Amino acid sequence: MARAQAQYLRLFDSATTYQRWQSYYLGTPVSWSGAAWQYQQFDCDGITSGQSGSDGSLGITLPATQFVVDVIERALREAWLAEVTLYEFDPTTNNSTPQASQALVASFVGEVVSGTGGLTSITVALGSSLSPVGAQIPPRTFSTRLIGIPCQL
Amino acid sequence: MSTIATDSLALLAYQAGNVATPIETGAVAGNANSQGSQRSITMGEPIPIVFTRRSGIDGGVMLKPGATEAAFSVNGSNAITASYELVLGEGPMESLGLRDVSQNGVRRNSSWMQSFNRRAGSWTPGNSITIPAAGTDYRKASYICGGGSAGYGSYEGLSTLSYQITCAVGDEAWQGQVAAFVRGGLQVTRLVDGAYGSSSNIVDLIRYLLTQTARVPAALIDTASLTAAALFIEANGFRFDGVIEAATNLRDWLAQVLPYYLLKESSSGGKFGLLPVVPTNNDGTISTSAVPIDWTFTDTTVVAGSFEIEYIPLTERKAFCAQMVWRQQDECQWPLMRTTEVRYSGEALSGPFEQHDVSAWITNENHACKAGTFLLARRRYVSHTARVVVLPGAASRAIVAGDIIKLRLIRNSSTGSYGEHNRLYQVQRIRQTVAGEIALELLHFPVNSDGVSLIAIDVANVTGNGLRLASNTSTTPDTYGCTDATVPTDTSTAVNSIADKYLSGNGGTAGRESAGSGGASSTDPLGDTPGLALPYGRPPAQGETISAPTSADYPNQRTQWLQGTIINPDGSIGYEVIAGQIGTSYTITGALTVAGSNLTAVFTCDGSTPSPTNGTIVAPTVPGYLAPTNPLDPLPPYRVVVRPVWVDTGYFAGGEYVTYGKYYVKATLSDGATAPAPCAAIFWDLWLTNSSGVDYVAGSYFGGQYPGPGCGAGQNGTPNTSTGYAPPPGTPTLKWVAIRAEAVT
Repeated sequence: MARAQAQYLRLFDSATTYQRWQSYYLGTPVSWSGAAWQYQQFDCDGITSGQSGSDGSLGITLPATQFVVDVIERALREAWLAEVTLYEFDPTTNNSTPQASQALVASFVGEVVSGTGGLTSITVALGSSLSPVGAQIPPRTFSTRLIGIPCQL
Repeated sequence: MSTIATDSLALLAYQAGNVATPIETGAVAGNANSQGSQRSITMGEPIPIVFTRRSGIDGGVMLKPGATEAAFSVNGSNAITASYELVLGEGPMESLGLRDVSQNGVRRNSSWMQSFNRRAGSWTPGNSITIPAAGTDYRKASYICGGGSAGYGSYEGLSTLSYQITCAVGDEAWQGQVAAFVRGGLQVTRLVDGAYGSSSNIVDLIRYLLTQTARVPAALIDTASLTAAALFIEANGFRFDGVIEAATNLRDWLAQVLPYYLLKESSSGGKFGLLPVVPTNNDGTISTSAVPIDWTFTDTTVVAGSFEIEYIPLTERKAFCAQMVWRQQDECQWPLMRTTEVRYSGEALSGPFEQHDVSAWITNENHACKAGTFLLARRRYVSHTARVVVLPGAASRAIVAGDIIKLRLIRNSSTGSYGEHNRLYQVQRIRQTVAGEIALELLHFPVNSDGVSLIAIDVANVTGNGLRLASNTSTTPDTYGCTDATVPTDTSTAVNSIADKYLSGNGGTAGRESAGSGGASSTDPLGDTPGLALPYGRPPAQGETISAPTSADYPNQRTQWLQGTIINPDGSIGYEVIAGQIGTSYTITGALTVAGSNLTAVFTCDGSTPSPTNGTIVAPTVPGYLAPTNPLDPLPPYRVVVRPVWVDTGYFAGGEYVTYGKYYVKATLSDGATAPAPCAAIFWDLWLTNSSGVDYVAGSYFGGQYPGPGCGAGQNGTPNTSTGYAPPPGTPTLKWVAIRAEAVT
């Protein structure tokens, strides 16, 4: 069979989905998984899964339109999550709308943790806030609010 | 999707945790000295997390809490009373019994009470001793006793203990370090049984740390994986009974402790999870049956020439003796540090030795032995790592990290002889590319002739010798017996605490920023919309004043302020509420009320020509006029703005769909309509067009009459305030919204 792969990108938080994008069906929204996915050009690097703590990141490159920049700035500001899914299907059967039989090849969910770019494109990194350099345990320290002024024995 | 770089294959053994170094050798971490003076807490030090759940002869933590406040006084007999406010740790804990609290190793005739989320006890800190008494060195009683005139600490979220003791002249026990034997530490919702309470399962602790420390969103935690890992820990009797009190990075800490629990981190689809390093049965026990092979790859399914192999160097495979240091925690006894040497028969009899100090967490001998055996077995049996690229297919879609695969590849040596590479591997890492090929990074999975994991056999079969050593502790003058579980009553009362300052967050407008209108620029045909005063991207705050933008095209613009998101981001339709007033600026004086828990409060404004007589909005007098909307939200099309559109013939001419522009919606009428007759009725229709281009009229509402002689007072067209617009049938997500008004004579 001929094989094609379509990427879907969903930006959301715990309560709301803000954007649903797909990059395969040029210039047209499509309906998939009970929702409409707007066309938005983007490109992901490889999806990695594994048994190492370093395997939790993914990069997405988007055109630096004002709309995209606004979305990404808000995503960074409000710690949105992003889910990338990769579906595989036979384009000779239907290449204009998502096929019900398309197979999920890979998926990745992460926080929008950083972004870089210029005037033409912007690349955001999806990852976890479980930073190798932050995330101190125990999480809390003694403070004036908690214990007042400590004694000295 | 593009290709990505990979790490050197030689690193995989280290990344997979197959090669690890022991914790730095030194005095064992779990040691606890019963003697010494009461210590005080220093501002800024970490609040300890006490995580334990005593079961049978194992578990429990002997805690030596620090004091935050103290009080000292003497009575007429010169007996001194010392009071200490102690912090046990973060979160709620099980209640301590009389048998559990001691001072310098003795359960003395003291009074104490345990509390949570507030200061325990009700005494006032301070030192009221003024006359030194003979026979007792009261100078050791500190005069810096904590608290303060501004109030006490809130002790929010902390377990606290108020301890008071009165000692006769000459008895200096009041200075001693207070200790608490915590049988049930921090209470959490346990993964295995779903109950709320103390736990000794390290997976419960890790989940707590992920959510409370790193604030990892729930969507990024692989709960199914954690639950399976928790079952594995429970079924094999692995325990965590310890205190986390030294600040460290969570990821470093995980790398340090997980090998001793036969777990490793996993990242599946970006979600954090944990996986056992040995095969398991459904009930979580270690499987010593033939390992099921998830996938088999042969030369027909492997990309030619992609197979690579890297052997683990000899220096990382030398036999050694693992000296496991663990903690024997008997009832009513101070913990004993124990060592158990684990080695293969006949190997490393005189070294080398590796000391693995797990006494801070492990209180079960079998657990210590299995952890040591795992360290030895993986070094003994796991010989290499490998990498292979497989062709697209069913396996490439379903394979996940941790799967066991078999590689059967023809080995064509340089001498021309043929053989077969037939080995089992555990998938450590999967990289998927748009080409469909799957790159697998693999760790050798050694099995015997029956297909049983060699490491699993050794780990499952090892047990400790079961010897419990006596502490040789002399009988102490305890006031309370070792079985007295009576819990003193908590009579603590809330006190005034010192408040921190919180930022209001109203200092600026979030959202797309503007450089403002100042400064001349050269002609720029691509000039963007000028900066806007309206906030968007966040709800306006109470007390904040927001202003509507003005337009030179509409000098008589008025603004109607509306509250509510009309179309939710998920495509469902909320409803619209008029929240404010007519005017170009609006100060929010009341609490924002938005119907629907998932709605975002946004303010919209609608410019139109003003009524000459009152504050209501009337239809514009220019046919085809449609006021521009403001770029309120950069995330279209989640908003509806109601505005009047005028036509003259008593029917709507059609074609006036509002289309979505860059940041605004607009419409153009082209039928050359003329003004309606006085008192003409104005109807408002809400038109919805779904993403498939199918139109629906979701509502038609009478908006009033066009002004004119004889129409009567108050009959100007009034704004449509109808709510509850129904979603269109079929596709729930809207792409365009059209509003029209119609005048009927």
